[in-house]
Amino acid sequence: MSDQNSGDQHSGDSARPGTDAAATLLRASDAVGYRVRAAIDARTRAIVDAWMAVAVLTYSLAFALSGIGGAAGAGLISGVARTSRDGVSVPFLVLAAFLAASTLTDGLTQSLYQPLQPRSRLRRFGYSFASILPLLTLLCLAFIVPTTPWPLALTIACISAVPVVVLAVRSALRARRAGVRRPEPSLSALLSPTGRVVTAVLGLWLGAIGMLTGTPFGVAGIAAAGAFFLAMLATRTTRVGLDRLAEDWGRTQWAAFGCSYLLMLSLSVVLPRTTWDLDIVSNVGGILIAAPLVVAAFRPAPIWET
Amino acid sequence: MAARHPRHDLDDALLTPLRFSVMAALRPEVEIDFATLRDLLETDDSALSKAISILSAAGYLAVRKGYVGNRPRTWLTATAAGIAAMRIHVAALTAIAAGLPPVP
Repeated sequence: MSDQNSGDQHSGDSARPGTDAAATLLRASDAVGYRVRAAIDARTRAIVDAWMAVAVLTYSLAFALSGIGGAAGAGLISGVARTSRDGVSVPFLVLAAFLAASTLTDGLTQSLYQPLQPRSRLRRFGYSFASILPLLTLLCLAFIVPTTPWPLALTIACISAVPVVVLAVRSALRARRAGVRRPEPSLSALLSPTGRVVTAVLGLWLGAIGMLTGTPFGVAGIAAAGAFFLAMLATRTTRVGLDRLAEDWGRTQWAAFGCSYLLMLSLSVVLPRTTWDLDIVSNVGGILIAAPLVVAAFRPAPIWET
Repeated sequence: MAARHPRHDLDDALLTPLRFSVMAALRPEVEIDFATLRDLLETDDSALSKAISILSAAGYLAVRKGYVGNRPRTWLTATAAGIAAMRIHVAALTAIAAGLPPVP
């Protein structure tokens, strides 16, 4: 393309397009728009993949460290899973955090302009499957060989994250080549009232799950987590769903969720290992989990003019 | 009142195919690297630089210089004025392409 017809040559009507030229320009515009959207998608996918890589790695580590036997002493790590009053609820704490993260990142995926090609979809499925296999091995070991040495458990946990980390790195390189990025937002505003409420409720609910997991009646933690799973399923694709919320969030809200997520996983590791008062640990943990999201609900998010 | 042909709504700054394509590529929510835009539009550095300086002077795009590692990069993004101008221009082109009668 050239820009030779520039400057004052355009002031006359002779330079103005006729019917065919106008149609050609519009087609060219659509084609350019399509290619730019593909570049934007590459960037969004890189963000989603990076989030999932971090989520899977921390999830696997928390899963291996907390063990699934918990208080019963049947955890993967011999001798450390003995102080929790009800170790059964700890995996639910981990699972609630992971499901919230995956639903939110699913929301980002839904905002993509173009669906993945079948080949790419198959490749991604392969990476996910390769990531799940070591996790399943870990789960089997927890039941069959509860005395599995913790270095082995940690190694398997790290191996489970390798495929998704590789996927994230590949996506990041592709996004870098795509040459697009978000500018600093010129406009920002509070989330919509629904967005604020859903963000705050998400924080409070995750905090409540954390709080109830360490109580003497640990089943309350399972009930809170179960209700959370049901609520996520019931509200999926609705305007109060987490997937819809993800599209409205800005960096502040994502960072806050990252903090809450890591705190939930940390709590799941601490609860079965600590000799401190579990009521205090779980109450403080719950408050710390809820606080970032509740605060972020009332922080501005960028507005992008489209 | 005399009928008004849609060509009167065409924007002088967007009349060349390259400038029009630059604005079609840019969006307010993303910044596009100069080299990426050049490859995307299959043009050369000098033609693209010229188009960018005209569109920038019209206030239709914002240019930001930065670095990725040690390499200097130029990032481009559409301004609100550019988006509005593009909308009017595309509407006029659509009307022309459809062979619509002049607007009274």
